[in-house]
Amino acid sequence: MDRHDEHVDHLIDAYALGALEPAEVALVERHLQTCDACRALLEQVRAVTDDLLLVAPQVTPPPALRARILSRIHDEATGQQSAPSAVPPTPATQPDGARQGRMGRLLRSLFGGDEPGLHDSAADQLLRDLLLDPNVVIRPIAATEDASHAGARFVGTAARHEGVILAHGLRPLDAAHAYQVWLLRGDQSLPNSLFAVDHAGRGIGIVRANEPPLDFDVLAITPEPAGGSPGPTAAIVLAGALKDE
Amino acid sequence: MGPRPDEEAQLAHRVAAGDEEALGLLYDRLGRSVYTLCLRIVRDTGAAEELTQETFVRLWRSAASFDAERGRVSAWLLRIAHNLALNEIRRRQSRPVVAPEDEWETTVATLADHSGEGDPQMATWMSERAETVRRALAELPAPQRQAIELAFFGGLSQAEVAAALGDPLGTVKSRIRIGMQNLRERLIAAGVDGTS
Repeated sequence: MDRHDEHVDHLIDAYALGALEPAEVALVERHLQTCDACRALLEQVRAVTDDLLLVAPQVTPPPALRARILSRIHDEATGQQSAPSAVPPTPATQPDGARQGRMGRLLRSLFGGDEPGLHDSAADQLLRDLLLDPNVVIRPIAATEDASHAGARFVGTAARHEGVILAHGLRPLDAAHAYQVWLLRGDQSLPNSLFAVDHAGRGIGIVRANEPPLDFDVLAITPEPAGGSPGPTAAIVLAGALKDE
Repeated sequence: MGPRPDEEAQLAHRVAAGDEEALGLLYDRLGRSVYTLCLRIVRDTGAAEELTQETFVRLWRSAASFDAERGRVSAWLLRIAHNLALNEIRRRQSRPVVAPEDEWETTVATLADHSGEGDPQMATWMSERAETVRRALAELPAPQRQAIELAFFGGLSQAEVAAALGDPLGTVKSRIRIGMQNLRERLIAAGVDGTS
């Protein structure tokens, strides 16, 4: 069968460069499933685009990035927050004494009182990284009941896909339940991380998403079964706006 | 011939088996290139760091799907980074400020580091290959080079490239096709064809 008029060779270069419209991408990908000739052409063109990926003069990333990546990988590998990090901060990120004092005061203010006994966990490390970031954003997350003394803060940046939620004053839950974070946009409620609170009602957790949490409208917290829930099953106890309007 | 592709492939297989040390070794070889590419596209060091992290997380999650028969690990990883970076700038719904190339080069000159740390052999090989590709790109007629760069590093569609340059869409499409053909011929003539 002559399929010459259906070939997409005239689109292959733009496809490899990422320059096609979505409808054209769909057309090309559908055709590539069945056409060896166009697939072979694509491999030739990709040899060129792979070389283009090398063109920019090399720029060394910050030394701390390696440790951050490996810590994140370790979290994924173990399926839990990592043990105290064995990686000391590099000189470029080591806070001086004055900054440590300011960080301590900031941590106490975030927790609305006594500085909690923070463990040297992945969330703790991320919180420290965020607080040292000049672009850090802190959003208040307020209780939904007037009589509640509970509150929280979300700490993140506009660029990062992860942030930290710090809560205080929450009622401790039994072993069968945990507090769950939700990221809300429009009528969507996306389930996110779970965290527990100590006897004083304080808890800390990492909030990760495929896009920066600060791009969502609202962060909300509900008590849920310990394994989490695909949708909220209880009333919201804390909620606050994330996006900067 | 640069660092042996089978060494990279072996590291990828170890990553697929859950070897965190192997991922660290791949970062030492390729982290700089990934970061550089991300920075080149998003023009923001913080976002480039996040994208670099996400690239290696994707590698961790999908290393089992790497097929050594289809190319190098470095190319596979950089394609992931390229896609993530383009998605990021498109997600922002703002088109990148396409600074004149000399302004970009000046900016990068303050950051660029050719110390070869991490994996000196890989760094030397990539630096030499990159220089060859840069020369081939620079030798293209300016309209072809601009169209390719706006698309590949700017995340613009052909229609958006046409709008940015003030040229007809058909003209831009032709420039991209002919420019890529020219580039491939120059790379082959220089002994670089993306397969070694």
